[in-house]
Amino acid sequence: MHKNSRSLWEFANPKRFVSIANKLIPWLTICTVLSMSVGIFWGVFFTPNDYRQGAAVKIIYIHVPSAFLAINIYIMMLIASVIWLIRRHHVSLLAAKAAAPIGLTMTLVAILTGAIWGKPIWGTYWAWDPRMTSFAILLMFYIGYISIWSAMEYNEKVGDLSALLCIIGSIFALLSRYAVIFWNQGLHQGASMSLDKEENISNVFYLPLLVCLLGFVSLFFTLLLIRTRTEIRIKRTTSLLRMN
Amino acid sequence: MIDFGKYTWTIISAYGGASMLIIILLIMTILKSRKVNKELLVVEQKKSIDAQDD
Repeated sequence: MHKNSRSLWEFANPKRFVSIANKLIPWLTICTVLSMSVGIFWGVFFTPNDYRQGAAVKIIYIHVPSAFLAINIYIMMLIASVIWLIRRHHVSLLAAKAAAPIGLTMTLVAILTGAIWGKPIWGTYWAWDPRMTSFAILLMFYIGYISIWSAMEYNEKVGDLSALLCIIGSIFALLSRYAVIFWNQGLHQGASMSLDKEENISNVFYLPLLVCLLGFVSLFFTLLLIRTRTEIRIKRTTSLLRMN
Repeated sequence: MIDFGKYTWTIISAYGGASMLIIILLIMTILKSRKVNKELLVVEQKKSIDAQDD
């Protein structure tokens, strides 16, 4: 048990992380390109129109995966921040820092595609619905988190501050996830994907959506590895320059 | 020709906007990675030359 846990933490060694990242990035890139192109092509051109929404349903192939990532990237940042606070592993803090711009982009994609879809279907681009409002707050937390890192130089105190902000913001990430269950009022419909089979959308939409989701998750891991590797290299450059 | 009836522009603008945001993120990630890698190589080379001189 002790041996296993020790080997797990060895991945937090920056050199080992970079070497693993270098091996994984090409494979993840291939997986991203393949699954995103197959999923989107299948979803947009080979699925029928919805009986109520018509062709507007085809937006789900980017809206649902981006919203899924927007929430789960913040949860990943929360886990990495808690690891930083407890174990003081710099790689976990750098991974949280590296993930934030990806999460921000995914939140923007989810809000933008939702608004474009909302206009013809709901008759409005935006409504102060529980899920949309919690997404707007989540966006603010992403911006706040990135601003902390942009405003100050890398040091442990900034790491602690950003981790604290991440923990507070995670409440809104969870609210975004469960808002449609907590509050029945509002325009936003229930979850499109669920572990409960009965709540899922029809298989004809669900299968290409799963492929798109795989593509978005691979895209996230590809970008995360590249960005974390960059952050590790920045830290190494800075410490080498300080030694002079 | 892409034709989704009255939703054609809705779909094109949603996919276009999302692609643009993701492409910007991709380009920024790749450019920063290349820049930082170059800087690290220069610093490491300088460091090894300094060590040889000493």
